[in-house]
Amino acid sequence: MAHIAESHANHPGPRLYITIALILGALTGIEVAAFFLEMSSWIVVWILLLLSLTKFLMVVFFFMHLRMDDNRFALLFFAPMIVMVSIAVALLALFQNITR
Amino acid sequence: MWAFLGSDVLFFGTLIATHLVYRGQSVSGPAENILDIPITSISTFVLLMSSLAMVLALSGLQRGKMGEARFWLAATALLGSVFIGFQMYEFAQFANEGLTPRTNLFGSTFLIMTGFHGTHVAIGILWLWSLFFATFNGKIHQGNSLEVEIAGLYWHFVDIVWIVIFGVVYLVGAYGAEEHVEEAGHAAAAIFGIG
Repeated sequence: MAHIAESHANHPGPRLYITIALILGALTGIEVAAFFLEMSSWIVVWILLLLSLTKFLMVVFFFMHLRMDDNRFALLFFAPMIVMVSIAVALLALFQNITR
Repeated sequence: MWAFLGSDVLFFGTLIATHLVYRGQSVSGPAENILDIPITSISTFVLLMSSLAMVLALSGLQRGKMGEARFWLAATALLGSVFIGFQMYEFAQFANEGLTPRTNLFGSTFLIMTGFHGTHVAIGILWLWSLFFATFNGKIHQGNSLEVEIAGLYWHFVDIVWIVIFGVVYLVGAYGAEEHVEEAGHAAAAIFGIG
């Protein structure tokens, strides 16, 4: 319980939450703008992926408070994520190899 | 809750990976070109703002401001309902244009993936309203704000799943789908030394 109380005390205030939400909204706007840009397709795809990753990490670390929480929670969350991303990349690689 | 979210990562990861693997393989019916990016951008923004409302509800409760906590809990649930409304509109549009789960591989994988996400949102909305009403009978108060924090973790998770779906499936997917998947596949194949 002491850990929980300490964790709550470290939570950011409403001002930071609103700032984070505004940044998330702006990043979504940039994503949509990038989608309609006349640029090299490969660059646009990487921009979109990086923006999505940034938004994802901001929500996880600030809104879900993982930044202030026990590292074991981060392990519980990120370990399956690493496994899943690896499987997805491997499937995509195999899929392209088989159908080429 | 974190263990559950870890398992849900695998669940949604499987659905998203399956969709990516089968993308560009539909031989009939509408596919990626049916996605409406402007409308989905608005619903994505609505869901992001619901996450803000959720943290403000928790913040209010932790500071003992029950009125504030109630207001933001209700706002979170209402914004979630708006998101569901957008999703129902999108599904109805797809059905009108002939895309159902039985139409083709895109329809199957896309509608199952986004349908399960919508189900998660709907469960979250019910959870939020139950917390909202529990604040009136004293079951939720400043001393047990952890109850709301756990619901918040679930809600934010639903939000980050949508961030991935919107980025990877909608934007990257609709942006000249086949060409990009093929490029990504070649890049992935290079990483694994295949092909």
